[in-house]
Amino acid sequence: MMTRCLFFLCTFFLFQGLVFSAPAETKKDNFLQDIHLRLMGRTFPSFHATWLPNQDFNEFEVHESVLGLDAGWSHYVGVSLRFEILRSAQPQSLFGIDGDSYILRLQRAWGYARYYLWIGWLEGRFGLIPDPWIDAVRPHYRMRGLRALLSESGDFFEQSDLGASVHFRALRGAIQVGFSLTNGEGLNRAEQNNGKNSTVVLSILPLRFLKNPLKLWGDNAEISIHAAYRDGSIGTGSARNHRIATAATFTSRHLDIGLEYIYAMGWSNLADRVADGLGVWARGSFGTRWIGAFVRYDRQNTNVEIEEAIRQRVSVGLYSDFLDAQMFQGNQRFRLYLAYQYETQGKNAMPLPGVPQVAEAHRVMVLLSIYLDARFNHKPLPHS
Amino acid sequence: MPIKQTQSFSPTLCKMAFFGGLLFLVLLGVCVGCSSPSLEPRDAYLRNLLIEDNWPLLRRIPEEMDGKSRRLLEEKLLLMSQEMYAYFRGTVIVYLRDQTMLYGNTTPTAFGSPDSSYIGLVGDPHPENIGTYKAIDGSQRIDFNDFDAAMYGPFIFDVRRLILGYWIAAQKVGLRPPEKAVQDALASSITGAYFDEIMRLKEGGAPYLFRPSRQHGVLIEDMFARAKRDGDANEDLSDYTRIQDNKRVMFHGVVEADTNGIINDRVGPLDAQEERLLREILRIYPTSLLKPSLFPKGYFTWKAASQRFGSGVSSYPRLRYYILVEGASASLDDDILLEVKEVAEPPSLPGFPLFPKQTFRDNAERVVWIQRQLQEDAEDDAFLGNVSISPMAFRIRQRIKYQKNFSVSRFLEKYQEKKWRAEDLRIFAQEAGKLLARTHAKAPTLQGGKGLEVIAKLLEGKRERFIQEQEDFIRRYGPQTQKDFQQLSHLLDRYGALLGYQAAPWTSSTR
Repeated sequence: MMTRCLFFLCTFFLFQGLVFSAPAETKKDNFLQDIHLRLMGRTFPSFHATWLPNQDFNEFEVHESVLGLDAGWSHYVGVSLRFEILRSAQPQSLFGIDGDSYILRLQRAWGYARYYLWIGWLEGRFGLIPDPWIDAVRPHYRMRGLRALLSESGDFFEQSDLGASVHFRALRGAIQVGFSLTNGEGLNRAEQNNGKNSTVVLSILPLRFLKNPLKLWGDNAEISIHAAYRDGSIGTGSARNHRIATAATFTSRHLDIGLEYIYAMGWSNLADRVADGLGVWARGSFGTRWIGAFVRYDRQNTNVEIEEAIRQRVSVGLYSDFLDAQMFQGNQRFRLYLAYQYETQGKNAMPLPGVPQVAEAHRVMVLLSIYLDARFNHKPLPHS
Repeated sequence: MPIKQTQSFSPTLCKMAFFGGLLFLVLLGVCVGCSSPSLEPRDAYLRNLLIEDNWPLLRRIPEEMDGKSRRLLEEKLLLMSQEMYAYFRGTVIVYLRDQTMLYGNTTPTAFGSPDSSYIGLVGDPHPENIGTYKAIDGSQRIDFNDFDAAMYGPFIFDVRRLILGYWIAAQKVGLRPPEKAVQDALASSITGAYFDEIMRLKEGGAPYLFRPSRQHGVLIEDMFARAKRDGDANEDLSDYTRIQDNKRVMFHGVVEADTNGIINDRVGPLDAQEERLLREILRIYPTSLLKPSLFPKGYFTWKAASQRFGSGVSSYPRLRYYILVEGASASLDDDILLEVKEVAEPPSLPGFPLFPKQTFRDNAERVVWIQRQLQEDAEDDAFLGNVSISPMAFRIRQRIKYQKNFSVSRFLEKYQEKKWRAEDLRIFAQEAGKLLARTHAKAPTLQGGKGLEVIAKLLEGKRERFIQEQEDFIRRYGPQTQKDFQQLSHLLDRYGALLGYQAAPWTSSTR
């Protein structure tokens, strides 16, 4: 009870403090001039053919589409909304809307308030907020269209959850610390227990300590290192759902390299199951935006206490950027992937322990990764 | 608020890194303990899965002013906690999740292949889901009779579920030494019979048919005899209807007294909305029949209806109605009682991708289509049909005593009276092994073949290994299920009648 009261008070005073600490010099008639908007969208239509040992199938699909709106006043307060479009029925479910139609659902909706404190920005968020780990690593991963981070696709982290978070970005974002308190049930469920998931994330972008940005073939480069710990529980039964995660990335216009590792204490509703996951990726263009190559490798151990419970996936392919430009003050991208994926698993991994061949799959896909981002009256966050 | 534009960070680098690290550590300290995870992993797992399994009904709770769904769900969990066989029947989701996740002391299988992992399964084969039918040609038969959990999946899941069902039945009966050894022999009896029947069918043998005779053992013989006696007496009509003023009307009240807070058999009136729903179902239903031409015009004319409470375990809180229809003539003696049952989703099998994703339009179509494919032939039940009134789906069949299930409680009673022996249960288990083999042999595979080809290929020449693996499975997983059952009572005592689930009080109608 004490913890909850403390949380209510902290949230209330943090937001009050942040909002009232916005600069007083702004005149009332300048108010409208300080409003900024951002409209964004991403969609990944694809055609893929899958070969399982006993089935093959091909289909057109849109596996992720997101529409977003950010609105804010100056740098200090604002709101962020994301809507995603997805199939209405879960896999294997026959309960959908008008069959299995695409439906729109709220993916994220949060209000924020910021305050510049000494050396950086302190930001509080409240609502359906992004998971701080995903929020920290995803901007440094640029192949989402092809496949989400293993942190998400391996059921280690949910992309968003109801709760509140505090973020501190210091020294042009060279050091970032995020702390969130959320329900822990993710996007699909309301709260099921009284425990709250708490996650702390530390990100260091060492190149931002330099006086001059590092250039690679004429373009800015970025290195990021992240670490996170989550104390979590899930479901009415409060099954343990803790995580330790780390990631390191190098990003530039022509070359990306990255690695993520997640250690799960409690996974997939099994409180005593220890699982882990390793994702590695690399992308490079051949000196032109028209052609590049990528590789991604995911290795997920679904039970570290027994042998051969590992699932692996390799993705390789080529891509071409038809559009990769700064327009409307935002980043626009229109990328075409041609990918091959191979999935395999160990003898004791799910879904049929003892029969690893069941999950072996080959897949070829053509995928369009489209990002649109239009900003109005956008002013970069100072020191960001 | 002035924002200072810093040119170089190098002098403050160490200080800032220290500050960031310190903040991280402080927050890390705050993190620990907020989530209050449950101390017993298996308890948390059982609670979460049982909540997940009943999720669609739990979501109805805030919508209902009369609290009907809550009461029925509470009674379902209470029933599962009172009786081990009821626990087993209500936890097919736990069984399946254990098998796929290699959890709860279960064992991997060597008997699987991609082809044999997409066979039309019964989903929940167990002794009490075996029963009699009177087919269109008038013959009496034995078949599996509950396909609510039917889906495409690995055949071994059905085999093990059947073995587990018999093991639990024997455990409930509490076999006395020296008959206790029969409990250990059940797995090999089922598995051996299953294996032999598959091999016999592969060599061109005719499918094993169950007809009234002594060859199937005392228990099956008893089922046939009771079905004929009660069916001929049209007992269901006398139980659930009454004749008043030369008209047949529905009876509303207690048919069989409640026990320990659990409804056994009770029927009640409909509200106006339910009657509209049922009339619409009855209008559509004839189009889903296998042979609509068997029924003359006016056969399904509405006469009356009621709601049934207290049937099944998994489906205990689900909607179930009886509709009285005219039948072949205006005579009161040939009136027909139809059972309309709400069908829910089967437990999902994560990791088994289906192409196409949705083979059926709705769950009632799934249940009825698979039932027709898996039973001796599609003519076991002439009245079987399905109707979907989105988002709900209903399976319809005739409510008639020619359809009689095996009852573990009846076996217990007869065993205690020393009229039946443990050996009779073993013979019944052996027959069930043959029945499952026949069912799987004719089951469709997702790729369009038949189960016989892929299962026979897997089993050939491995009889002893197949039996040994299933014996090993039940030796470990049987006691685990018993332990889980005992734990459910503790969980209900500790967390309340809905295992701690709390419907958010501000949702829906109460807002």
